[in-house]
Amino acid sequence: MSFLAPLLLGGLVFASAPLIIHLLNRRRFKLVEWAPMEYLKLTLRTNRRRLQLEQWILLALRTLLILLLIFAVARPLLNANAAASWLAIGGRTSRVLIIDDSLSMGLRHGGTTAFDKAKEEAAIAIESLGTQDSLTVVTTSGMDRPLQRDTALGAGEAEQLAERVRALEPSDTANNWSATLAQVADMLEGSAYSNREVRILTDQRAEGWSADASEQAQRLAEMGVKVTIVNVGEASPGNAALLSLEQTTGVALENTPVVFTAKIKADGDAQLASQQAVLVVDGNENPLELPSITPGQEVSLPIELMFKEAGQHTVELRLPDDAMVGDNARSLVVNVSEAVNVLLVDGEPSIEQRDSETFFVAVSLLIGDVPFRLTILPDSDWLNAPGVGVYDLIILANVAQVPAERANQLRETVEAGTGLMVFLGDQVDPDAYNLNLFADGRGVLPGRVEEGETIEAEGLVVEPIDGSPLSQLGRLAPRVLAEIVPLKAAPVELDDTEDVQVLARWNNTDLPAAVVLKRIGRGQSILWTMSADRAWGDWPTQLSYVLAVREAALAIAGVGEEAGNLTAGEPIRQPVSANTPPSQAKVQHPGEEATTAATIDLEEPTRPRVTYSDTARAGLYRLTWDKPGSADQQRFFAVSPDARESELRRLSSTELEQIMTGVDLQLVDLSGDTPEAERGGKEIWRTLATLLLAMVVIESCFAAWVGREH
Amino acid sequence: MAQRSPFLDPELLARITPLGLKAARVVEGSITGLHRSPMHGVSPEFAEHREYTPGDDVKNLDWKVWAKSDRYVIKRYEEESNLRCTVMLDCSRSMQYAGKGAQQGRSKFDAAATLTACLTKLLMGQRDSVGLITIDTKPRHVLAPKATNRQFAQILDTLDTTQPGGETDLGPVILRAADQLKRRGMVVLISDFLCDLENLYEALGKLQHNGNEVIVLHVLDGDEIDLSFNDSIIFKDIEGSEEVFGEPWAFRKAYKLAMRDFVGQLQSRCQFAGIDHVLVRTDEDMAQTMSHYLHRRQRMAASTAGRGRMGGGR
Repeated sequence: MSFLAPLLLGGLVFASAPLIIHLLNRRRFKLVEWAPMEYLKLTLRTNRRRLQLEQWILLALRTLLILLLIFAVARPLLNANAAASWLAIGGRTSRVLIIDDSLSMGLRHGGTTAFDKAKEEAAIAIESLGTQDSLTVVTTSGMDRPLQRDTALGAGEAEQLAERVRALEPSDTANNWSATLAQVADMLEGSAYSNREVRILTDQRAEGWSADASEQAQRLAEMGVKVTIVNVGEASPGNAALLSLEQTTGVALENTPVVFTAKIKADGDAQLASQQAVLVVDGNENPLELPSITPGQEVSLPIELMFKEAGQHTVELRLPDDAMVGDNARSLVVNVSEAVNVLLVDGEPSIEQRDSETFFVAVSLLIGDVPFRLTILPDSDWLNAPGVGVYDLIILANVAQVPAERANQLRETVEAGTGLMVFLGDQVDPDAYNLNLFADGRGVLPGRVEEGETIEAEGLVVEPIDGSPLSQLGRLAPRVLAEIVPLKAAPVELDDTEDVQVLARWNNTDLPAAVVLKRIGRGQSILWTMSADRAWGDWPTQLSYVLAVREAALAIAGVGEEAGNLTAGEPIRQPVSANTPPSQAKVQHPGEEATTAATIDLEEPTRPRVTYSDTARAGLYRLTWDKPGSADQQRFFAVSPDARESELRRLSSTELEQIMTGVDLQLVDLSGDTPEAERGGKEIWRTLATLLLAMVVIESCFAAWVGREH
Repeated sequence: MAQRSPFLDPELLARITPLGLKAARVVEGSITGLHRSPMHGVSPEFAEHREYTPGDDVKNLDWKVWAKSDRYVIKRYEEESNLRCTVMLDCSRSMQYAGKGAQQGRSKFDAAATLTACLTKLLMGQRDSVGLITIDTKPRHVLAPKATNRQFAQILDTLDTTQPGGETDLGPVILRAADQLKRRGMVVLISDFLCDLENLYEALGKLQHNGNEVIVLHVLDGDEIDLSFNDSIIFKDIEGSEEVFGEPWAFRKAYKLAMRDFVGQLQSRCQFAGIDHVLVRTDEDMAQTMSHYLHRRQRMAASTAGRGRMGGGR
C-alpha cells in the first residue's frame, strides 16, 4: 500500500487524541464526600469488568475513527503491490498465477529483468496467500507442468513454493496467449471453488496476443473469472537481435562450401557499428566482423563455412550483449554428408536403363562435381516398404498412385525438411493424386492435376523469383529456353496459398504452369507438369534439363526429420532403430553437466523415437541413447530462441482491454517509474470514507449505549 | 434561646403535634400521662373487679355491686402514666452530607436534629419525659429523660452545639447507650445507618429485650439513594480517606438497586422485630413523612386497642 499524500500520515499522532481527552476528562471531576461508600464500591466492583470493557471499546472505536480519517485524507492506494488485491475479500477462491517466462521477459532494466520482477511479485503474492484458497502456479512455457496445481497451501508450503518460484529460470520461448488462456480456462473448469481469479505477471509485449486470445478471454468471462494483468515489463531501450541463422545450402556436403545466412536486426536506440560477433564452429570460437547496422535496419549476413568431415557439426553465432541477451545468440546443427541422398521412385522401371522413367533424372544428378548418392526403387518396392526412408530428396517419376497412408508419411517427411520432386506421366491417376497427394491443399502437391494433354508452347519462361530453385535456368540464353518444346503437359489447378509458387511456365498464350513449388513445413516439393523421360517431350535430352534438375534438387534437398534444429519449446524427436530400440536415453541441457532422462516413444513400433519436451532454454542439447549391440548413440539438437519475442512492442492498456473485452479485468502497471496512481493502484479513500461514516454511526450508537443508565 | 432553635421546624411541629406520639406498649412513668401504665391506680378508666380481702382500702369497694348482689368487690382502674423517650441521634461524620436536592439545604444531621427537636417538643407537650443521647463512636452527650422545660432547653442546646464528626459504629455504641436506660420506655433511633448492619440488629434486639419500644428514623439524602450526579465524580469516603473515580450514569441503576436492597433489608428486619422503620429523605418534605407515619401509628394503635377491648369483654 502507498499514499498519494504521505505527509498527511503525520496526522496519525492525533490517534492518541481520544486517550488524551479521556485522561483530561478524568482531571475534570467533582470531588464529593460520600457516605454510602460501601454500597458504591460494591456496585463498582460488580460492574468493573463491564465498565472497563465498554471504556476500552469506546477508546478503540474513537482511535480507529481518527486513524481512518487520517488514512482517508492521505489517499492510500491499494493493489499496486500485488498482495493486497490478491487478498481481496470474497470467500474461498481458486487462483491461478501465471508467470510469463518468455524470452522478452529477460529484458534487463536497471540491473534486473522483468522476469526477476515477476518472480518477486509472484513470491510475495504466494506468501501473502492464506491457506483458504486453492492455488495453481504456472509459467507460460510450462503450462502442462504447473509448479502447484489447484491445491491449498499448507503451513510452511507457501514459503517453499515462493522459493521455487524465485529459483525459476527464464525460457527462450514465445508466448501464445490464446493457448495459455485456453489452458487456464480448462484448469479452472474443474477448480475447487466457484470464485476464480487469474493473475498474469507479464511484460505485456504485443507479440503472442492474437485475435484468438479474445475468444479465450470470452470463455473466461463466461466463467466469471476475474483477471488481473500485472505489467512488470519496461520499454525497450533498443535491442539488437539475431533473428535467424539458417543453412542456405540445402545439403551440407563435406569439403564443399556451405552457406549460412544470419538475419540481424537492430531497433530502438540499438545499433551495431564496427562490432564483432563470435562464431563458434564445433566449439571453436572465431571473431566475425559485423556490418554496420543502423536502428530499424534488418541485415542478412552470409557466412560461408566448409566442413572437412561428414557428420554432425555445430555452429553458433553470438552478437555482443545488450539489454536483452536472450535473442543475441543462435546455434545450428549442421549435418554434413558425403553426398546428397536421393531416392528415385521409378513408376515405369525397365531392364534397359535408358528406357526407365528415371534415367534422365539420374543422369542429370550424376553429372558434375556435387556428389549425389542415388537409390532407385521401382514404385512397387517403395510402396511396399515400411516407410518412405531417410533421404535428402525423394523423386517420384510417373508413379501411378500413392496410397493415403504413404501420402501422409510423405507429407510428414517433407514437413520435416526432406525435398520432394514429382514428375507426372501417362501412368499417373490424377484422381488418386488429387485425393491423396493434394488432399484439398493439405498434401504435398501444389494443386489439382489433370490428365496430361497435348500442349503447344514455344519454350519455357522462368519466373524471376529471388532464391528460386530454377534461378540458374533463368540465366540461360532465351534461345536455349525457347528450344524446350513440350509435347504433353498436365494442367494444374493451383492451390491459392502463399506457399505455392510457379517457378516456370510453358510459353504459350495461356502460360500454364510448368514447374510449381510448394513449401510444406521445413521442406519443399516441386511438381513438374511433364514426364521425367521423353514421353511428353524432348526436354530431358537437353542440357538445360540437366541444369534444371540438378539445381532444383540441390535447392530443395534437405535433411529430414533428424535435422536437429528446433525453436525453443519444440520437442526433440529422434527416430531410433525399430529393430534394436534403446532402453534408456538422456538429455544434457546447454551449459549443464547433469543429464535428464528422455522418453522412449514406442507408440508406433515401426517408428520408435526418443522424445524430450523440456527445451524452453536455447542452446545445444545433447541427446544420448543406448543401442543394444553397439556403442551409445549421440546427437546434438540446436534450440534457438523464438524470433517472435525479439519484437518488443508493448500492448497499450486500451489494446489489452479490447482483447479482454467482457472480462472482469484489472490492469496493474508495475513498470519503471510509473507513478503509483498510474500503475493501476486503486484509491480506496471512498471505501475509507464509507467506513468512516459507518464508524461514526457505530461510535455514536455505542457511546449512547454506554452512556445510558446502567 | 432554646425556643429559637433552628431545628424547631414550625411546619413539622404543626403537622405532628395534633397527631401526638403514644407508646404502642405499656410504659413505666412517674407521672400521669397519655400512656397506659402497668400500675393500677387512680384513673377514670375501669379495669376489673376482684373480691375484697381484708386489708384492702375500703374506698375502693364498689358499693353498687354490694347493693345489688351483697358481695364485696374491689374496683380496679387502669393507670395512665407518662412516657420515657430517649432519642439516640447519630452524629457521625456521615450525617454531615447535604445533597443539592435537600429541603432547605439541610444536611442529614440537620434533618435528624430537626426531627429530634420537634419530637421532643411533641412529647414534652404530652408531659412525657424525653432524653437525648448523641452517638458517633461512643455515646457523646447523654441527657436522661425528663419532662421539664429546662430539659427541653438543654436538648435544643445540645443539638445546636453538636457538630457531626467521627466514624459511625452504631451497633456497639447503641449497646453501651442501652445500658444507661434504667427504665423501659421508647427509644427513637435517628441515623443513616451506614454501618455494620449485623451489629446494629444485635443492638436493636438488646433494646427490645430490655422492654423498650424502638422507632428507627432512617435519614438519607436523595443523592445517596438516587446517585443523581451528571458529572464525573471522585467519591471520597466521608469517614475515611479512600477515593473512587466514577461516572455515575454508568452504574446508577446498579447503585440504586444496591441502596434499595440496603433500605429494604433494614426495613424488613425492623418489621420482623416489631420496630417501626421510617425512611426520611432529606430531599422530601419531612413534615409529610412524619405526619404519614404518625397517622399510620395512630391507626395501628386504635385497631390494637379495639382488639384489646373486644378481647377484654369476652
